[in-house]
Amino acid sequence: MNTIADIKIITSQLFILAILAFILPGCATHNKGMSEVANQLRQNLPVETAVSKIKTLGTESNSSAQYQLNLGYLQLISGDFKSALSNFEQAKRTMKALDAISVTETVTAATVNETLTSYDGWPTDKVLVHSMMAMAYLLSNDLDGARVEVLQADVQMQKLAKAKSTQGQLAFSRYLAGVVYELNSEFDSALVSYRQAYTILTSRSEPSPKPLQQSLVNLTARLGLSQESKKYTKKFNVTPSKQSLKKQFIFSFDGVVTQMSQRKTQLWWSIDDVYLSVALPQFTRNNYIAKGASVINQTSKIKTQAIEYIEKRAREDLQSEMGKITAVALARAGIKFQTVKEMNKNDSTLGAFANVLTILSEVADTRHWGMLPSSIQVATAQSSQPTLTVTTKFGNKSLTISETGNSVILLSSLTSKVHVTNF
Amino acid sequence: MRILLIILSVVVLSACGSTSVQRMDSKETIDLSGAWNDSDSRMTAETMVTDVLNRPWINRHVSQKGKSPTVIVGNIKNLSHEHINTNTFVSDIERELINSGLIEFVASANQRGEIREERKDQDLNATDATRNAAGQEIGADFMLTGQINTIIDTNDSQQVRYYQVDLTLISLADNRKVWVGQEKIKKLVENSKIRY
Repeated sequence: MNTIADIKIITSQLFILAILAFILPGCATHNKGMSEVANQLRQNLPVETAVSKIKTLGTESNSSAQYQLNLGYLQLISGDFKSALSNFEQAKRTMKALDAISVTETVTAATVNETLTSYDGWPTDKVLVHSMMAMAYLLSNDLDGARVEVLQADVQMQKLAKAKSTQGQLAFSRYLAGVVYELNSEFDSALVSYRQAYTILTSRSEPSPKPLQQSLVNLTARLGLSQESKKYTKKFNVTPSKQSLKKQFIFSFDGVVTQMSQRKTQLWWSIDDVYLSVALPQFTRNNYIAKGASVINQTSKIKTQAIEYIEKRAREDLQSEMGKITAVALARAGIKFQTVKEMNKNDSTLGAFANVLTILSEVADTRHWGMLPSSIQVATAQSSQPTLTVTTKFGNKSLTISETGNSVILLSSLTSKVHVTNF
Repeated sequence: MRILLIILSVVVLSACGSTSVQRMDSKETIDLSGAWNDSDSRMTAETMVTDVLNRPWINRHVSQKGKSPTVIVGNIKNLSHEHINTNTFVSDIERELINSGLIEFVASANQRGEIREERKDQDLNATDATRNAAGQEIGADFMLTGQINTIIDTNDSQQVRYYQVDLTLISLADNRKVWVGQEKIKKLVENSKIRY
């Protein structure tokens, strides 16, 4: 027979579990809503509608960075650069503040699940937020602002490289830095950045896009590095282009990255000699096929080429953390198993109820920057004419470009809007 | 179960909090993130003003031209790792130099557009007695230009932030650099590896 003290303990245990059962689905549902919007974007949901849907979804306090990153990206491609910058800035600050390891969140992750921890961004997010801000500044005609962000991206990439040499190293971010320096007439710094982009691509055995090759050839020749210039000329079969012509730097964001999902699996728990069920994050098969845009000037038709496959980077980020995630999930399942066993001793009904709640609470953390494009593509054109035609899946569009200076153009497969800034 | 109790307490307590505002002396130095802040701006301005007022270029100009030098603010470029508003310390410098009575400033290229528009408007709408005629502006003798550079070295939890502010006063008559001011600020920022 249970004593009054026993009943009090059981009641409080039940109360806590019930509360946790109410709290937990909230985080998972919120993330699911984000993923649904991302999937709808693939099915031609207008970006402006997606922005409204994300705003309606709102954010859990521990996922604010994810919310701001997603919202910021959609605002960037829809041309609301001011709001994009504001959201990215907040996300950046939140992720920085979460750099330190949280004692309480570590305990929570090890006992309940990882969705209760704060979203601090994957390595790709931490770098890409600066690059997306740099894009937003460029398109707002603020070259100095863009320069600040490429410098911050550089610091972030150096920091991540110290932990693991390939983590968070983005060829796109290096290439964009090169463009910003080139627009600022800092050709030596631009060359350094282009070289870094090329090194990243080479180390991954990924092809370097033509605009990067052309920039390497042009800048080495311009800076009098004749040996290096000859080397690149021979390797890429590209000759230096005319310095006098104004240049158009084209960026194209293609697709929407695959959404992270959850899979349940059984892992062996040797302490109690049982198989325990755990929930782990995963990316389903990568079915992405890159679709390029084209730029037509008076002499030629230039196709955009991929410089960064976000699909691959997102998978690499998850893969590098999988060992840790799996170990924590197993330890957590072990703690839950012990708790249920303990409660079962007191009361079998309560034990059964606790068992259901522990199964319900076992949710994988599938939060990520899910609105990102599957790939980032680039192209450069050199046109002396005041107009340029871009061809995307939405059709042809004639753009007015600077007659005297350089231009930056942003395309996205999610919207027919094309953003141009002339410098 | 104790662990669950602790977690629940943490979840509940973390939601508690209120906004508090404390007024303080604007000259008080408070470093929160280690980034460029109002104190850096103020200290840079003070150092630059002291330096520029104690160099021989002013006396040389007065003895040659018989009047105080007139300065215009040119481009102060932010080449740093941060979004720094250079206007704050430039206006600090302007204020101190104007108040010293030794230097005169004229409106910068950005500011004078509005003034000229107003003068055009006066030409149409103001009375003869109060109208300010065009073509009476004072041409600057010197232009103040400069840049802010940074070098950041970082690891997991530590960061060395080095700022260098360079200001140059260039004679508009012959491109001579009559004064070069430099201020260096170095900070070690240590971030906690563990949070609550």
